[in-house]
Amino acid sequence: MKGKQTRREFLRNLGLAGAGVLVCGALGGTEALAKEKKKKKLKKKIKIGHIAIFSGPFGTYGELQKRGSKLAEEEINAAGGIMGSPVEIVYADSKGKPAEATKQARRLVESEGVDFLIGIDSSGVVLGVSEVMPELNKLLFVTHAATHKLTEEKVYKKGNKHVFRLAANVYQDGIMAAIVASRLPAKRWACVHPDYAYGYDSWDLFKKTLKKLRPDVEFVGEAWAKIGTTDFKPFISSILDKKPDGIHTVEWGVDLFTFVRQSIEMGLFDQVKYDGGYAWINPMGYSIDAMEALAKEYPEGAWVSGRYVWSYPPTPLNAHFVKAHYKKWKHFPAYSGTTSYTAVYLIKQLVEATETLDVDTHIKFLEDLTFYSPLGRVHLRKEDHQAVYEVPFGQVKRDSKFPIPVLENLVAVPAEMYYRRPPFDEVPPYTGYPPFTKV
Amino acid sequence: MKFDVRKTAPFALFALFVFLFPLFGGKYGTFLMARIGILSLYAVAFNVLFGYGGLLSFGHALFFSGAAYGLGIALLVLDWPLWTGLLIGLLVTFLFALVAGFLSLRHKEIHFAMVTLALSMLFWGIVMKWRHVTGGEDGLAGISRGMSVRAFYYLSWTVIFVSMAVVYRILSSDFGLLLRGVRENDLRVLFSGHSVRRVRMIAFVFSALFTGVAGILWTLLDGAVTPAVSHWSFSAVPVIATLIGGPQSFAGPIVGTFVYVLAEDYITKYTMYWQIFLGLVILAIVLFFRGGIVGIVYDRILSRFVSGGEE
Amino acid sequence: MRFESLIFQLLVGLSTAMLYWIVSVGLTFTFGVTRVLNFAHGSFYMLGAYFTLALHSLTGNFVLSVVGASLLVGTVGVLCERGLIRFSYLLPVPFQLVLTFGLVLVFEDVVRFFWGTVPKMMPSLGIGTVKMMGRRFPLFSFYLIAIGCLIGFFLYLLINRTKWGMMIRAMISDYELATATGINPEVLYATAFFLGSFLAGLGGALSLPISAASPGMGEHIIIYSFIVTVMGGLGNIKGAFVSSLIIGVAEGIGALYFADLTMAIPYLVLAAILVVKPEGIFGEV
Repeated sequence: MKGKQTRREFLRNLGLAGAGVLVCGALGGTEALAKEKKKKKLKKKIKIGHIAIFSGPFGTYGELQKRGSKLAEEEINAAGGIMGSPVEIVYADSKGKPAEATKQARRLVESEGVDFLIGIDSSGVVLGVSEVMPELNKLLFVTHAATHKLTEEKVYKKGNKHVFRLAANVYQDGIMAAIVASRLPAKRWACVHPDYAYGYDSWDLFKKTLKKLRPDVEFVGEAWAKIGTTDFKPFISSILDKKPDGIHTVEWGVDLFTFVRQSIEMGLFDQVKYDGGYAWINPMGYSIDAMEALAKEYPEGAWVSGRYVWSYPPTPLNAHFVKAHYKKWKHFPAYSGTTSYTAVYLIKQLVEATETLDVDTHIKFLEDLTFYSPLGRVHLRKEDHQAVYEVPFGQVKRDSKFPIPVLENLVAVPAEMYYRRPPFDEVPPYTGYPPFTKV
Repeated sequence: MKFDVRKTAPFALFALFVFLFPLFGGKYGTFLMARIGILSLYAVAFNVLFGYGGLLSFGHALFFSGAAYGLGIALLVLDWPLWTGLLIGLLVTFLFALVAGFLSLRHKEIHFAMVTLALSMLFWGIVMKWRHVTGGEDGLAGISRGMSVRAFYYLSWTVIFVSMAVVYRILSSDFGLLLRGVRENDLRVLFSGHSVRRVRMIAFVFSALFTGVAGILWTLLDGAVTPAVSHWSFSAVPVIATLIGGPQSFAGPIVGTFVYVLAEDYITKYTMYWQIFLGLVILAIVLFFRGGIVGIVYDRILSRFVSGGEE
Repeated sequence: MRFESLIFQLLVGLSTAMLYWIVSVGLTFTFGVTRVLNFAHGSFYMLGAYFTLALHSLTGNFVLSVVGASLLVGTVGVLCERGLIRFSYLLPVPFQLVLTFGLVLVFEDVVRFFWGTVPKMMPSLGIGTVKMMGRRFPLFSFYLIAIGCLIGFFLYLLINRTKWGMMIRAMISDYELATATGINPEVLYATAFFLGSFLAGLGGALSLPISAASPGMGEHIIIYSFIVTVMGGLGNIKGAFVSSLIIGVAEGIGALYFADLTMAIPYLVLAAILVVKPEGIFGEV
């Protein structure tokens, strides 16, 4: 599998990519099929409801998602829509509250008459909304929320078939992070995490996986900071007290900005320095909001990732997307924007291939589907409806040609190797798999 | 109680409207209407303390979510049958009410508001931290109500009507008079041989219990309970609704809830800046229309025709 | 080694406490004078941060921006008081509380409209750190501690040694008598509101080098300020100081020994104190 990929290579790809590469549903293996049936026309326009947080402290997350879905909507309509009908996206504000989101889901489906739902930012919200999807009998494509409870419990164990998740989940934050950690010299790991399920789940998966890969490590300290923490000094100093040589943190958003700045000041980065950089693993560090806010500050050499990073994979499809996104919004795409973009194109592919809006047919079509998107080659697993695609980790590197830092020394592992597999009671590496340490 | 056409006719019309609503309101409308009913009960229960007792609780989410979590934990964590969940939910609310009442009723006015706020946020902190039982930030999802939204609509509105009737009965009894007496003048009630503290405590527990009923209905309708319903901002919902409708009458909180929920539903469809509308409405109400909608309607219109109102 | 960690954690907690103190003393002081508990105090804190950002990008001078922003917020505070809040002085308490809550909603959307939802971070000031006990401690935190103590000192002088302070004290202790002797309460209300909002703005401005400005920042601080003021006794300045220290230090120490409980610590401390001393540590004013 792809080990390293230089920035230059990808830039060349960016240059090569023509704007039209993707336009007519280059998304999937079924594109020929879709083209052939194009004569058939839909009677109504396809309406998609996009639920995300647009107000309050986390209002920026809805904005980042909207950039992706809006772009897809415009591209698709400019190219003739879905089977001749235009697509329309209706946005709704979840306010980050589960009850509000389920209300909006009902409103969009029962009053606005949308055919699909996409979006959803946080895990509490997604678990709530997933409960009403079978009742509404529409499909929900989750583009941001990462809790593995959704796919492992709601879909796999409880049989909720109406939810698919296109965003990488907490495996990226825990398991993949541990794989990267296992390659570093650090032996004493500590964490600073947001004080809620996402933090605990990530840390739990991280510890279990790392212990399997590297029995010689120990876990020396934990700090749990509630969401909205403005002063991380107490947590940083309590972690410094444990003398770790590696840090795992899934802090994100404003809290991450604060945390990184204070960690630099108080020497937490210096504490985890090694020859090749910092043993600092921050799976959400390459979120676009974080990179923009910390463009000049995030220490070079720290290991970061996202649920997609714009420079990977180096395909024409992704290059087109990044270019179009930058042209339209003057920002690099956020992972949630990319998954939203993917969701809209997936719906296009789905409707064109099945020529129906029947939900059961859709589910059957989607299960076990492999398709291509800016995310790369994506496999929708049958058992848990989780999109399986790999996202690399890389080290922060500033480059004067870009407004935000780029990633160097990318490390990627085939997604099938680090995603948990049904029945979800173990963490990788599974027996029979090749060892992880060399990728 | 005497039978009074002027009072019962609007009520009967309203009940008929609620009964027929699902026939023309659409699926989403029915859902929203059920939710409005539940929040109305929440506001009415809150107003027992506020409008009648003169006590502003900024922590009623404690009782709402106490019942909700009691139900959720019984059903999803302990795997007990539904009826025990209902009982546990109400029991939790009752206990919370005793403790919170004991601690907060030592205070009045702003201090009372702050203590109730603090207590509800303490519970919020516990809910967020006690992950193995409460599900933490994620809450507990997957509580089955075992019937369609429409069936549940009828069930919940029945419960809501019955609960409101009970509250109304209590408030128009001697106890209601006593409670208003406490609001107007503590000393007189004291001299008349009643314990102010006890009157307040009883009102507090009643208010909490019916808030708990609303919490249970909400949880069943939503199928999930999350920390959002124990956060202080959820305590603000009945406060705002009651002010919009008018705290000085029984119907005020109900009218206010209708306006609040429908306006929010309508405005958020068109703009992400809906808070500013709400904020400005609140400012206008406090400065110019302290009687709320019911107050305006009553003062400006009804008072010309009807002599001798309920308040 | 353990002892040193404890000292370090105490210092860290102290600097956290100072920010709580600067903001909540404004809240408690305004309450003491006007008897209005201002929900929008958190919004003033938020405005302080955003104004500082704007001024800093204009002037490039942090100290100047902080002072300018705090004065601006003070002015906004007076405008709110003169334009809206003063009409509620004679209303029942619930109306006052809800009125200022309405202001919170308005300010949050206004900030969102002008600055967007994306949290804004100020460029690092490069103030640096001091080395102590083998660790680095941000110099800015020392400044914060110093500023907090200075504010305490100035407030003491202002209230106890100036004519204005005397009038304020007179009015708090006996409103009738004070107004009868020619003190104009309107002026005092307005100036008290200016001072209170100024302090909120200052707190927001001083939070910038540590943290980002975001539309949700006011909500977090107002709850903490409520906790601090209720704990110390509403309107009680000394109480606000002590309870800020208690909360800040409890969080600092808590992070070391009860990593799992930090979220609930302020509420637990408050609940414990309310059970023992319902009127707050030093009682109400």
